[in-house]
Amino acid sequence: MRITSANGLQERIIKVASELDCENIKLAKQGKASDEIDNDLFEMMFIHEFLPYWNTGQIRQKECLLNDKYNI
Amino acid sequence: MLIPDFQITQQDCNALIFKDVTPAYSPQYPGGYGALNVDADEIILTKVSLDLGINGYYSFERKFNQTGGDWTINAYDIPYAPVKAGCSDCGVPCGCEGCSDVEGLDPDCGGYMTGFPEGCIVVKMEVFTQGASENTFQLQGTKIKRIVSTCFKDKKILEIADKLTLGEDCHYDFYKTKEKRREMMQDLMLAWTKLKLTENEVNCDCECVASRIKQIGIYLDSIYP
Repeated sequence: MRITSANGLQERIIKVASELDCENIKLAKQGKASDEIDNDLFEMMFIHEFLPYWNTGQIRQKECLLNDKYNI
Repeated sequence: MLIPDFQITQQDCNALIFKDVTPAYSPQYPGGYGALNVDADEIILTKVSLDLGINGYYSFERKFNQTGGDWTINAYDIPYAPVKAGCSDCGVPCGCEGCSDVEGLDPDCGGYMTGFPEGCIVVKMEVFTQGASENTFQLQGTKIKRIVSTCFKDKKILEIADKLTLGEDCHYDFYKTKEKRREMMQDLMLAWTKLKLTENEVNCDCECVASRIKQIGIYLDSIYP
């Protein structure tokens, strides 16, 4: 499959996802881990996995989605 | 003795890009070009054969050596000649009888492939120098590799993954709830991982490859919008 450059979007996803993950680990220690955060993390990693294989139009669309939902 | 090496990659399901990557002769790679072996520019003919199992065996020759860049083999240029399909001995360019269920082929076949069928492709490279007389060639070395083509399934997975991650206003109606969507994303990720592992798993023979691709195909068909 052809690989498309995602212009650093993958790195930005990892950065935000790591922060969110740390947050959830802290919450878990307090017995308050959130399924909602788990779902968000999964969605981010799902997009991260497929990002290089989508075309530039699709990548732009995902960038908007990630920006709206997660401020990435 | 020359031990050639090559890379072959699939592009857009219908082309294979072949590249001679035989290194130069060195103590670490005594099978390389030069020194005790022939030089790269002495190779005047390269033969590439593709064994697609029941979908046929195809051989291509070209005046090609390492300095000649990449070699693109287009499916569109290959007359389809299946080994077991019902039309194989009909005496006319292979039509669609018996071939129509082969993914990657035009519904009416048209006699030519429209894409490389999924599954194992055993690729053989043979390189030749000039023989003793004008129209003869001397075989210098052979290399065989197996690649796995999953291109059509990859495309389908990417399409579904795209639809699952459209913005809030474009929710695709093949998931009705957040839970259902999450479940589908997990299953799709598993199918994708399994497909990628199958491409590189040496212990999975061609029958095993075909069976895995078929299983994943059944799953994808069941959720494909």
